[in-house]
Amino acid sequence: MRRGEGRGEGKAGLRLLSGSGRLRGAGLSKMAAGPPPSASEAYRSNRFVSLPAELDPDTYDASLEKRAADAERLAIRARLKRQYQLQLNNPNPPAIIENPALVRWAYARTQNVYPTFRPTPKTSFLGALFAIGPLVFWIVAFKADRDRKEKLIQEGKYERPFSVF
Amino acid sequence: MSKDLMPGPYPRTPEERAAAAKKYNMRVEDYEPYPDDGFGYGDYPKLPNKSFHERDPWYQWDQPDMRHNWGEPMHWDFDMYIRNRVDTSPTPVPWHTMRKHFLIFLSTMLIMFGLGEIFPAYRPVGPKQYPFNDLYLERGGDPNKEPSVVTHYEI
Repeated sequence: MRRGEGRGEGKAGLRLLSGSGRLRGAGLSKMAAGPPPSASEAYRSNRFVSLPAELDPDTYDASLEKRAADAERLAIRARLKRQYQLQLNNPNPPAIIENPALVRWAYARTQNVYPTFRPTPKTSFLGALFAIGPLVFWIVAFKADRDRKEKLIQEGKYERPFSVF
Repeated sequence: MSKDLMPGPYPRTPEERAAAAKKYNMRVEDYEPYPDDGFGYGDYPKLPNKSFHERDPWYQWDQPDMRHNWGEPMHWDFDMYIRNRVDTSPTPVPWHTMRKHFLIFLSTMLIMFGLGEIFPAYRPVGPKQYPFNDLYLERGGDPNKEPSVVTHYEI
């Protein structure tokens, strides 16, 4: 979409340079297509990087609901910080201040996967694709390559690459 | 840690969702588990896919190198989004522009290399000329016999 517009502008520009008044009018009327795209439309948010804060409409949302939500989040954060600071500045601090979020993260990624796994069509397909697929593919590839080389050797056509003779 | 503080199965009722949100130190409205596709996520929250490059460098984090606070729910791909690895901070040039420029450059270079292979261009060359009658003795010729005279020039 953007690329097409750019090329159209370029061609119209060349026509303007080359010249006559008749072409100039025709070029401009074909080009005129409404207001130029806004900055966030020109940026085109994608799934790899985030939108800059200036182009994100959430930055400019100053409604009361958002502020109440932010206040609740801040309250949770402050409570957690207080818990942590109390343990940190304890005169007899514990040997390790364990982080329950870290423990939960490690547990979820290792021990909680098997109990919550369920064979569905999607998981079965992906499992076959990634677990069995490469194995079968490489077996077939190596076997085919070896058979081809064996056939060439039997026919006497194979030139040994690192032969000392 | 007790079993009810650990991650569990996907929450089905609103009470389970509220309990899971409290367990992970999140607001009930913010808590969104991964979809129940049987992939093994359980009730772990689905946090926005933002790397730690984007977090405020001037805030007093409890763990400044990880830009992470104690007790804050960690992203499933936490180890991918640390500051040594994947960076999702906004790029100054839009992604589609960067991709377009890169593909133009790559395809131009590949096409030119391909054309150079199909139509090679180099200075004129001839077959290699060896001295001593085409290396007659070095190739195992009989030293008692006279070799045939080989001249590589024409006058």
